[in-house]
Amino acid sequence: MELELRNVTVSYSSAEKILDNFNLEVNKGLFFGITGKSGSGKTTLLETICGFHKPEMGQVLFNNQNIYEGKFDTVSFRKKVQMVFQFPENQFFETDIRKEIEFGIKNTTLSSEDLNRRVTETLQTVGLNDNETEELSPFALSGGQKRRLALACALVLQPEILLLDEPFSGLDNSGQNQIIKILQNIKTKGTTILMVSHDPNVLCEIADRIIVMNDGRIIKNEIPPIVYSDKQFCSQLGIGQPDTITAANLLDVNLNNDFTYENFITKLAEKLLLKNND
Amino acid sequence: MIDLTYQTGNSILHRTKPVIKFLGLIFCSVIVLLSKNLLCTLISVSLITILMVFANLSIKEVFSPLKKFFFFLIMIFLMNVLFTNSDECLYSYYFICISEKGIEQGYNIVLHTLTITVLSSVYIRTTTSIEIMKGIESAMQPLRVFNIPTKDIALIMSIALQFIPVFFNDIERIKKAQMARGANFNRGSFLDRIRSVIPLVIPAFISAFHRADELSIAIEARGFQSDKENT
Repeated sequence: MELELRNVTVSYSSAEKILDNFNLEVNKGLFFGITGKSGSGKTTLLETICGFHKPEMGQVLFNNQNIYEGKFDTVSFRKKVQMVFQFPENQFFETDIRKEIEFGIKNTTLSSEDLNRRVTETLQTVGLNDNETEELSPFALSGGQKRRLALACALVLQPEILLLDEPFSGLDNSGQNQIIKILQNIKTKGTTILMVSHDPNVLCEIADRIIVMNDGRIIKNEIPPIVYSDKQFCSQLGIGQPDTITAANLLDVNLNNDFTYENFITKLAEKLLLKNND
Repeated sequence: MIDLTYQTGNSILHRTKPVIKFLGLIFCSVIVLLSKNLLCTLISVSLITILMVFANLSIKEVFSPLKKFFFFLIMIFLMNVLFTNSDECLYSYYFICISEKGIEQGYNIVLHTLTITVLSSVYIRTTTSIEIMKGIESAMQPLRVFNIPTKDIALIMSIALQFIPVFFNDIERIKKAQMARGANFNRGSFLDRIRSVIPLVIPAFISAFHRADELSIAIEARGFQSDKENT
């Protein structure tokens, strides 16, 4: 177990609990999609995992060590667990994007050569590696590029766990697809990812498990087909269903728990062929 | 998180006319600033007690939103105690001179700042933004004779007051984001600590300017015209 939350309770004021007796086990290399209504505690969950909200009760264990214990080395922990906040472009301050990425690792023991190599590799990972772009100010980038730069700032530390708070908000379709590709690439390298998102299409496409939250508690922690096939559950919690399920229901196509667009097209084609043959 | 936003309630202060509250705030602030030492202490304690009763607030509710402000007050006091020029030093070490005058000056400045901050925070917490605007506008009504744009000034002041907590929350959010990226604001030498504030200050200013820009467009888009009266 890489990360575990045991009976965690977090509240900003005594009246309201943001996380209420929260339990979660995160296994290495898995991609967790976190969804739920606004105000259900998704962002607080990520910030608590990152070490920003000391729980009133319970423990947050990283490799079996409580991260909120006095002796715990928070500085090195934050290098292993990186968080990209919502609208991360608001955190930029350097003069060019290389310096922006270097900010996180310049205090490590890496030599300047290794540091440069690491930054170049990260720029390649997020597709910002052409010479012209590298010299640009972070503020001169487009919305999608800024989001990829923010992701690069986290990835340069090669974190074991990556926490993402609505990385697609405000992005156009192509920006969103670019981020999805980067995340799929990171996932293959074994990084554990916890991503908050309201988009069932994206979550269904890339997440291994979906955590549905409501009032600071986990309502469901299951694989995407189980979560999203229950129409009543999805509409009750306001999490929506992937477009493929909605279309399949309308066209009476059986997707066999595979909600990808490819499978939908295949099954639809099969059905049409069968109909024609009949 | 600093909570200095309007809180719903039905206390005497909540029900008082906004213009009276605004003029009261100005009047009390002037009285506090003009008083010194024991008189200042007496006035401050009395004002805060009266406010607590009128606003239906406990001591904890009055002072807890200002927790982060206390460090700033301690710094003001220490600066005055350590660096006020005086002929009669109680204790001196190189350029540092601790004198009765410095202690007195530090005490008065801290008390003035604290009392006015408490008065303003209670005013903000018991008055909605529209009431604040109306209060300031009514109080400045006589200045219209001199063609002073009182409506604009009232709007600017009301927005500035309402955005103080928003600005603090922005800084808190940016601080978390930078800490998540490996920034450490509590380590290193004095110079390192000053340098470490750069990743906090630049994004905070950019965010504030963006917000101001967006807000001005939104206000215009919603049809605000300073020279027109409300219907």
